[in-house]
Amino acid sequence: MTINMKKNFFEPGDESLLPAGFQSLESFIEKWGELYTADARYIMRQSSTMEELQLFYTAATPLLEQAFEHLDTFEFVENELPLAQARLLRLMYSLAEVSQAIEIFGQPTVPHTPFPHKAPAMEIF
Amino acid sequence: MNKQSSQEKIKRFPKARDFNLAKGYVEAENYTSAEIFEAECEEVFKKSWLLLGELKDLSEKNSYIQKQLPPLRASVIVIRGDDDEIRAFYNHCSHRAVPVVDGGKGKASSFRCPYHGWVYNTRGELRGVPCEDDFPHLNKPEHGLAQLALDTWNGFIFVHAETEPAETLAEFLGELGAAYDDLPLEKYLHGFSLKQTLDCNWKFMVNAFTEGYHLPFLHNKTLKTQTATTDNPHVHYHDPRFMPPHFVSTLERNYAWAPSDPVQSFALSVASPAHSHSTTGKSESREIATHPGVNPSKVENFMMDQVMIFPNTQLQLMLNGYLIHQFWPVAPDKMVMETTIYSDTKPTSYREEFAAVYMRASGRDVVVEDSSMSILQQNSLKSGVVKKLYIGENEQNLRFFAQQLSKKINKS
Repeated sequence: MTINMKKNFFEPGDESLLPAGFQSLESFIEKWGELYTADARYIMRQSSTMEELQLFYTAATPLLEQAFEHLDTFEFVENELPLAQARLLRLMYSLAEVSQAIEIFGQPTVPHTPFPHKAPAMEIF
Repeated sequence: MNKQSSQEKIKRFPKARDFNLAKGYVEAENYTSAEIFEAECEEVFKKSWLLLGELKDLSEKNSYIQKQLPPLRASVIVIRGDDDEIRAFYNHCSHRAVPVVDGGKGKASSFRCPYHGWVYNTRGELRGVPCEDDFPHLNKPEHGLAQLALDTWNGFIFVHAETEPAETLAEFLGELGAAYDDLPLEKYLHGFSLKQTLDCNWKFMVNAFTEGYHLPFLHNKTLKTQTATTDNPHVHYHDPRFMPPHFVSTLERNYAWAPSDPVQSFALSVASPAHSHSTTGKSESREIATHPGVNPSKVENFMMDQVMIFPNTQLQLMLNGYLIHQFWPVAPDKMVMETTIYSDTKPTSYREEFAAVYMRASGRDVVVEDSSMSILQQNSLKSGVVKKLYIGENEQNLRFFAQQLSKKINKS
């Protein structure tokens, strides 16, 4: 599913950036909250240091359950989430990608794979 | 576990020698030689039934699928005509060979060549030629799109480069076709596909997907804990069934495995019981696994039947979904790999969508682990130093596949 493709401009401290309870993730929006495709997330994961990945992972993982409790109060319709919720969802999709590096591989790239690696073309149906 | 008991346990797995597959290596030139590549295209791919697509994608009249078949050096269109007949054609205009269909899937009531506007109907017949008076030498009925043989099995569309193949699809599939006939696959409509061009010989990827020996090593961070069990630490395949030129094995999964890291645990708790490839996992359906042809030896912790349809299609039949890998030769050192995973459910909440995003990322990474290895292998062969690639007794499928290919290529 692709979400709102419009670039959202934001000011730090703006209360509407993320839903209430998720403000602790605001500083991660710029790097992890504006990625709209699996390919973009995959490239960002590979291009990041383990420190950057770990920082985001540590902040976002404890909020995973809470994030979906909140997001699933909204109807599951493509491109229909309010901006703050859509941003939160994108952060969580980034966490799905980042967790491959943190939980699975212990490194940003898939082992033995040259950087940058272009992901296989993906089609969802 | 002492050495003796571990050997006893491992003995229950069949070995290559049990099937008289004595040749324990493949010459490296099989992966580099232009002559062998040509022979594979001519003697194998142009003389085999090739899986091109699924009837699911052609349910309506006038729907079509276009697909590039690299070893045939051809673009092929399959059309369900306005008469409900399904036919396969080469995607070449009869005028001067320009492709009449641009790509992908779709619906069209006719096909117009973009160059000079020749028009074909959905039965492949040439219907319109602008300034037709200038083609007094053209007999329209003879200049429809050139046809390929087509037949179907289990909802899969197969084509054959020869207009009159030496064997029918049923004959070609033989025992395998009979064992797996009437698979209940119609309702598996959701999922995702991956397509990538890789700088390696196509057989390297076939090899990677037909043995379990590499799982605990290459996939030590990904598949190892999910597949290796204490009594099968090297992930030997169960019950190899050779149905020349095709072959099938049953694979087990480590049902004792459970994720421990928080994001993976969260995703899998939503996405899937650990033993499924389902994109959301909600399905409780076990229809595929209970088909009489599947898992005939009744492996308890069943993961999949891995069905290799010669030469280049692998069907993985799982508990509640299926997967197709296709391995297409493009050049001795280039291939296209296509993977499609099917489930009978799709996300209905953001939580489930997250799980699907997670599963697609982790599935991609496992395929990347294999493709990266194959590319490294291909690179190593460039020096010419390596002359032989060795295949163990536990890699019986690789020996069989090499033998079958060699039979087709060296017809003597």
